[in-house]
Amino acid sequence: MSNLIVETINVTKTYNLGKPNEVTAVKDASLQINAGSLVVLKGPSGSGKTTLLSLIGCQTKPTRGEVIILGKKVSKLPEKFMNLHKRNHIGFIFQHFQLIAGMSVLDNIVLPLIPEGISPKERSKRADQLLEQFDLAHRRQFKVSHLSGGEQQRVAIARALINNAGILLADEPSAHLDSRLTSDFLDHVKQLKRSGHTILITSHDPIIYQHPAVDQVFEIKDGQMIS
Amino acid sequence: MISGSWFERQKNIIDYSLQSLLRRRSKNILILIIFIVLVFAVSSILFITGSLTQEMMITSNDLPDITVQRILGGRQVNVLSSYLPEIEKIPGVEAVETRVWGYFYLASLQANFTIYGMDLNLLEEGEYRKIVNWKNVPDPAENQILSSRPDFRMIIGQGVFELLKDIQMEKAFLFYQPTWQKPIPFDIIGTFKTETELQSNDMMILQTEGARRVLELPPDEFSDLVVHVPNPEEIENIALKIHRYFPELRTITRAQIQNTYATVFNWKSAFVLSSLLVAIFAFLILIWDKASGLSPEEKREIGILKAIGWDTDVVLSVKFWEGLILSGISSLAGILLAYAYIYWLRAPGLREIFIGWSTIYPSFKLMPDVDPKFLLLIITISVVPYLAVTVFPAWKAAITDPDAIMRNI
Repeated sequence: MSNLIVETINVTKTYNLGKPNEVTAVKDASLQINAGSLVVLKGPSGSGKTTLLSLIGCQTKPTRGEVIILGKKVSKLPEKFMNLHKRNHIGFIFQHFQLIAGMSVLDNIVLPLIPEGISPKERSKRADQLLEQFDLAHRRQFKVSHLSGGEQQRVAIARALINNAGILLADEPSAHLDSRLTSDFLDHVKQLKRSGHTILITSHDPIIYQHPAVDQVFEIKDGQMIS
Repeated sequence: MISGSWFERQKNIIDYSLQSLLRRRSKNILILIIFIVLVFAVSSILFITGSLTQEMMITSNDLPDITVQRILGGRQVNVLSSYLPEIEKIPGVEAVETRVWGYFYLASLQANFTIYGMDLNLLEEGEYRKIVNWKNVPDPAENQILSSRPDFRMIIGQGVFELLKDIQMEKAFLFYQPTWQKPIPFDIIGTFKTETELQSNDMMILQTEGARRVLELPPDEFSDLVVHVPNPEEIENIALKIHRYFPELRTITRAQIQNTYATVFNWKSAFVLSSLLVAIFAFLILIWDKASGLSPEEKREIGILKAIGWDTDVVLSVKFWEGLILSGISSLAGILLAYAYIYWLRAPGLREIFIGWSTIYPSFKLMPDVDPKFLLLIITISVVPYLAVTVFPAWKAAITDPDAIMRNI
């Protein structure tokens, strides 16, 4: 029985299609990721890593090709169903964390649960578990703008996990962290892998893609998969 | 993931909208203040116009069916008593009354009083009795002089009373003109109650014979005539007939007076609104600018919400609630402030524009008369455009690919 959880088939993404500034960020990219694995997508800046991650993370639709998550062709789904699939199965950690500055740690973490109609009490309960897990309980009511970079990243991870998503996508997680914080991040990732999460990370940092816990490394260059 | 009920979802969205409003406190407080000022200004004008028109319509129901004046050389002159029997003969006319009235200018106070002559004994009967605060009623046993001069008594409006009090004449007043040999003293036996102030404020109601003396009106002449017509359908016809039989007589029906009041107040309302138009327009532009232009921070927030899985309709719901809460609170506050300003504080500054014409401004209490149509109009011109200017740009931002957030917008 196949253990495949994420698959892209000849995926192409072209921005500004038909305009003078048209650019193809990803071209005919195909990859397969098994459930419970830790996978790194490496490549230099501007190679198309983030675009491919966006396609897998249901942030945008491919111009051509197919993205299949948990056996469902998400690239063909209408926006509402694609969002539902995203909320239920995918957690995203953005390169710049993308937290809402004026809000508290707790409020940022529970954001994905608001459209689900989950009560504040239940939201708080779920968030408290993650705050403990990521050593943020003492920062619960702090505004995220008052946190350090490492703490902000932990908030972003907690937010990505609040909906119990099985797939975690992280875009250049070490870009704004020093080596100690990168190592802390990898410790969290290992824990998540042990708990059964499938993790896909984009990075050009050897500390990440050479880490022993990594199961598979894909390489992308100029929008095309080279390994 | 387990989803909650629709109700819980809406509650979450409203909670989030409130939080969002509070996070952008300074911008929203500015919009709130401008909004309240706008709604307050427009509501105040609509309230005072509605209330005054309504008040005039109610009180003008007591106006005569037809007032007859005599015009000579293009100006109003006294009506001769010989017209009475002729008008009484017209079919449909129930009775014709004579009236004695005019103005008295008191130079020392620079005030113009309206003088009206009538049989004051009538005011002591029935419903009329209730509209007068009786005072200084001369007791014939104690005061032979006063009781011997029943033609020289008067009842005055509250505004006149206040002015006369300043010159210690609130108990008795001396009418005097330079051409007279001596002044004519009048005893003040009562003041009109405040409910009637819109009509009575500058009035002096004198016993008819005394009024004739003050107004220097010859015995067989009157200021005008009042015609009573029991059938309202016939009023216009009879007025036309009077004018046809006596071309020198001018007739004014109650409906014409009511129309004049309504026109005057509506004209004043339009004038004040037009004067405010520039300010209103400037405020609207400011609100539009503040509300419609999403800041980079707001655009980023919408991008984040979309990127973590919020649907476009949920983002729009948040913006809708934000707009509704802000404009709803502002409109309500503006309307309530206008209500308090017009009906509790008696519209200082605005009332003079609408009701004043002499130095004696009526200080009557405006009776609340809030037409639901006004409220609907105010809400329509405030809440609806505001919702449009807030939701539309949010929609534009929300339909953008959330992928943009990946590129650090």
